[in-house]
Order: sequence, then C-alpha cells, then structure tokens
Amino acid sequence: MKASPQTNDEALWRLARAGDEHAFTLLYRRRQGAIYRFAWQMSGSQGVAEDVTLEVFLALIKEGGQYDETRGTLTAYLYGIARRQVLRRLAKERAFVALADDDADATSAQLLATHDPLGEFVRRETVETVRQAVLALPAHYREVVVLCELHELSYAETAAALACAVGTVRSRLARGRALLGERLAALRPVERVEVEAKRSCA
Amino acid sequence: MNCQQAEMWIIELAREDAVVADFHADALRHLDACPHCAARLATERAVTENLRAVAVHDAHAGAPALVEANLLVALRAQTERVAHAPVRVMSAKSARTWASLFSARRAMAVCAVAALMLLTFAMLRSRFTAGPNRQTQTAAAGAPAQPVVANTATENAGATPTEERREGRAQRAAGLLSKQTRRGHAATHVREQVAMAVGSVGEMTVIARAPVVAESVTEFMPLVARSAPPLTSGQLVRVEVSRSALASLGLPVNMARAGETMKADVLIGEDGLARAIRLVR
Repeated sequence: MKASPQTNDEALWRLARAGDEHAFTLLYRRRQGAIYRFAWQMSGSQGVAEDVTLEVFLALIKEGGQYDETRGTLTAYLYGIARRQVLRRLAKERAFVALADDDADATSAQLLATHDPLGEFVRRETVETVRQAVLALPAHYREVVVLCELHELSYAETAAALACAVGTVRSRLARGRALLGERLAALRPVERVEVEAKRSCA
Repeated sequence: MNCQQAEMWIIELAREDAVVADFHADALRHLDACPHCAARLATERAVTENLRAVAVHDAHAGAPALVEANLLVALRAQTERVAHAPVRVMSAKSARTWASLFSARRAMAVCAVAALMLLTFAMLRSRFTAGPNRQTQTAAAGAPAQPVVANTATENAGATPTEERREGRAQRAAGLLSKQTRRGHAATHVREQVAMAVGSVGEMTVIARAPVVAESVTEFMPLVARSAPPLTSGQLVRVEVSRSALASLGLPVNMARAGETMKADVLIGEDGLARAIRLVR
C-alpha cells in the first residue's frame, strides 16, 4: 500500500511505523495544526504549543505501539497525549508569575498593511479578549470548550479524546459556556457605548 | 415544550447543531412565546459567535517547519533502532520453564524483594549524600550572596532563554538517538543535523494571562484630517486626559466635570502623529 492524501490516519500510521517517511509527513501535516492550536488555546503560549506538538509526535514515534485502533481514532489518541502534556506544563508553570506580552510590537504588527486598520485592530482585540476568557476557565471546562467549539469536534469525539462519557462532555460544555458568557458580558457594554458615542457625535 | 425542556436544546440551537426536526420546531415555537428563553438563546448565540471568531482567527496556525524536520530525524532513528534490535527465539521447553517460574505469586514476591532493595538503597544513598550538602549550605550561609551558576553556563555564555529552549527541543528530539550512539552508529551526524535545524526555531512566547477587565470603550475617533497620509503601522497608548482637553478636540464629554480626567487609548502612527482616540470607561 502506498501513502497518499486520501489514505486514512490509521493506515498512514501503520506505514510510518514501518519507516515510510512520506506517510509520516502526510500524517503530521494533516494533524499538526489541530494539535498545535489545541495546545495554544489551552495554554495561551505559542512556545508551549510548539513544544507540545513536538512531544506529541515524538511520543507517537516512540510509543505508537500502544495505540489501539479498536479503542478510538488516531486523532483522539493524539489529542489525549496533547492534553496530558499541556496539563503537565500548566501544573509546572503555575509557580511562575505571568509577564505581560510585548504588546507594542504586537500592535505594530497587527496594524501593518490592512485596508481597515482600526476595524482590524478592534477585531483582533475582541479575539484576544475571548481567548483570555477561555484561558481563564478551569482546565476541565476549557478543554471541552476548546475541542467542541474551537475545533468543532462532536460530543463523541471529544469524549474519546478526554476519555470520559458523552454526558460529562455535554454538562461540562454547558457549564463552560455559561462561565464564558458571564466573562464575555464585559464585551457587550462596548456595543452600547459605541451606539451612544455615535448618537452623541451625530 | 416548557422552559426546562427548551433549556436542553438551547445550546444545540445556538451551536447550529443538527437537532431532531420535531424538537427543533417545538423549541422554536417555545422561543417565540417565551422572552426569557429567547434572551438565553441570544446570549448563547453571542458566545458561539465570539468563539467562532477565535476559531476562524486561529484556523491557519500551526507548528513551524523545523518541528517536522526534527520529527523526521527522530523517525529515522527509531526505524533504524527497530531494524537493529536483536530478535530472541525461545524454545517451547524454556518458555514453559519461565512460565512456571513466574507464576503470579512468585512474581509478586520478586517485586516485593526488588522494592525493598530499592528502598534500602535510596535510604543509604540519602544518608551518604546529606552530609556534604549540609556542609555546603552552612558554608554558603556565611559567604556573601552570589548567583548560583551551573557549570554548563560557561559553555552557554550569552545564550538567551530562546536559545536554551531550542537546545532543549534538540536534545529531546535527539534523545531517541542516545542508545545508537552507545552502539557506535553514525548518530552523531544526525544529532548535529537536529541541533542545526533547531538553531532557528521562532521566538519564545511569554504567557500573558491578563484578567479580563470589565471596561468599556468607544469607537475610535479620528484626530487627523482625511488628507493625512494613510496609516500603515502604529501603537496604542493608554493615557489619562483631562475632560477639558478632550472637549477642545471636539469630543463629546460632560463639561460639568471638566476638571476631572478620564482614560483614553490614543493610536499613534509610525510618523509619531496621534491618529485616533477612543475613550475608556
């Protein structure tokens, strides 16, 4: 069997284990983005996301024999490893004090060459606020929100990745969304103020 | 359908999940009649919309290409190691012998003895190593305070945290090669390749977990004429301005409190000109 973009993950992994680099590359390119984004959205750090992506696929190379196709998809297996890695790192980094990002550089980069710099700036600011609100959720709610909402996994896929029941996923998602709604309520007055400002300007 | 039943479907409706048609119609009828549930659905839809904005924004994020290069090196090393692993064939007779020797009860006994030996060894080791450490600590207490520098620091003099992190990644990727190196294979060359590859990984990102501050802002209001050159890059600066100063710019402020100050975000262009301002409450 030859690896192609149409080959499924499990078959690609079987080929990769036999030393087929092309199969591994196809598998990696297909799944690395999701693992990287999951780690980023869970940790809030792109550095951690890079490390976790590397660790996840290294674990697949070293301990991939532990993966059992009958127990779930390879994607769920990869998410499972990524989740453990992220939680371990979060536990380690709890002892450190977070530093502010270099916002000045980020702001400059964000405003470069856009048709509507102010609109783009406001959009990015909103995304950042939502990202921070997601990061502020407790980890067990955050992982469900990230997988179901940001990665658009079904309840069953999320349950397989987190090794829990579908009912647990549903209840955690409802609670996580409720917490998120409360935190994002801070955004809604903005719309009201904008309207008021427009009226007063007019 | 009552509010309690509708509550079960509100999240699915907000997420635009495939809801069973009958329930969907029932839920929509209830939402038309119940303002409380309609408001709940609006809140959930706002949450979904915000989350989708993040998902769209992050859609193309991925690990840098060097991660892939490191992994391919690791895969090659692993494949080579598996290929060189010695294969032992056990005769049926010896297999039976081992099976009888390692019955469950005997295995447990062996494990217990091994654990006891490890514990004894650990205790002895801690007893022997504790003495010199205490002496070092006592000596250090009397000495002037100095930063502790590891031996490897001299080799890495001038190394930034980013470089240290890169080195760490290279070591982890190259970790798979350690056994081969002992066996005298050409792993050194491969490890050099990894180190070279990892040498240019992107900058480390500092985790910033600023609390979500409940502040509201107005839209940006331009401060320069339309004829000014277009804005290509800029910085946002948070300032505190007197209300009277804002009024002089023609901004809508309450003049009854002209002596007070208020927060504002000023967008300063690369040319140093204040391009726009928004008020913060």
